Amino acid sequence: MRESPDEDKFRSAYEAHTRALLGYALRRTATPADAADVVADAMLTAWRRIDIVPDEPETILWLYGVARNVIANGDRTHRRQRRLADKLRSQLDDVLEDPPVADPALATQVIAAMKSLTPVEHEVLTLTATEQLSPAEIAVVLDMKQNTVRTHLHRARTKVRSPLTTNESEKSATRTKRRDGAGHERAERQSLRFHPTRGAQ
Amino acid sequence: MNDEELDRLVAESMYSDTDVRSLDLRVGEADLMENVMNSTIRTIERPQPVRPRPTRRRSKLFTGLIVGATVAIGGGVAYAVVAARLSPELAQVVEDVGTVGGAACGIDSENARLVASTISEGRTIEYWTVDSPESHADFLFEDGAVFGGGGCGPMSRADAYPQTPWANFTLEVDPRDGTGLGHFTFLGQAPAGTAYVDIVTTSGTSTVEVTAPDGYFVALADLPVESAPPPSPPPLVDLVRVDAYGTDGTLLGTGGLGG
Repeated sequence: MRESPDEDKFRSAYEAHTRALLGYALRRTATPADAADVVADAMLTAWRRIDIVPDEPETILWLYGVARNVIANGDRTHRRQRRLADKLRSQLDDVLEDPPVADPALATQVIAAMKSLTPVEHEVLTLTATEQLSPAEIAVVLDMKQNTVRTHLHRARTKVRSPLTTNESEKSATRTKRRDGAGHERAERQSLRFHPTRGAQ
Repeated sequence: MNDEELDRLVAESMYSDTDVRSLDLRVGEADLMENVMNSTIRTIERPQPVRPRPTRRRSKLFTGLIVGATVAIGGGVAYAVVAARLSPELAQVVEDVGTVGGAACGIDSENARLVASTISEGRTIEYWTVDSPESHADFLFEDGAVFGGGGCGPMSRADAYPQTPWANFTLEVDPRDGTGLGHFTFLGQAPAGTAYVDIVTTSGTSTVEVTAPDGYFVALADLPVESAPPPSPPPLVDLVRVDAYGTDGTLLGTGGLGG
């Protein structure tokens, strides 16, 4: 049976963007299960409002915006009750591992530094660095002016860069003092636990 | 450290899209797509595009904190709002939502404001807002306790709701009560001069009197819903539009969920 144009449109959007949306959600939620539920809620919104889902290339920007608001609403219980993503949650639990990180200690510092950001600054920097959106695209996702996006991005980078630069200077000094103690430093790093998300919701 | 290096460090501290694309999730994805496309809303009524912009999709269905099986009969009676402060218990609820439920919100219970109330069948429902230049939140409380929960967003209220009227709702439903009705609590804001709003949902229309300052309103209403017994998913009901009318019946404006 031939599908309706709405069904075609939704299937195309789903197949093209589910993984990007899942990546977006994984980077912003506490657990993979939460991320799966956010994807489910965002896609449910897209299906229910397929009339207003913009055509490519803006579809993913619209979906990011939906997912952002789903996360901001924080209604995890209600999302879980819908049970739309039961299998996806289960499968994610089976296959998802912590992301490969070249320098876990540095990654921990980055995450700690990002906690100093305002919510908007955090989102602008994350959209830039991980979703690799331009200020113009971020302006669409967040419904703000490009100049405002650029301002938030500048502030965010400054805030995150500052402690990293300071820590790097301190680390260099420590390394100089402990020139014979490199083994000790490695042991310290191995004891660090890396958390891929920016905190519990 | 230049911008590119910093962005790379940020990206490397999180899951990358490459990591995610390499996962074998075909079964889960196919199941999710089928579940979404089979969701019941498509069999009820196609909602109108109430929010044409792609952002501000703050579909706050206020079922966040507590959803019980209650029976609310008839419309509400709004009354003038007086200055009030949250109890310590409710202030804590606000703080928890701002820091836990919406890690991105950053709301302060000190800014909580009672904006509208309604009394119906012995129940007093209060609508509180918590605003700051960078965030906003809405809460429903009943007789000093959490009722419909709340929601918050990391943007000012003016940004989140640039136009009035807007409306939102909670939906309590338990088909076992035998009424076939969904017990709605509507809340929202109407433009100055509004006497009443017609809230049109995919389950029907409810008329709500607006008397509170700033045009805020909250009301209880029962409308028919289709829902399977628990633990089936709750029914999906959409707001179609909200129309604001003046005392002489003049249409003052039409809106949706806001944004």
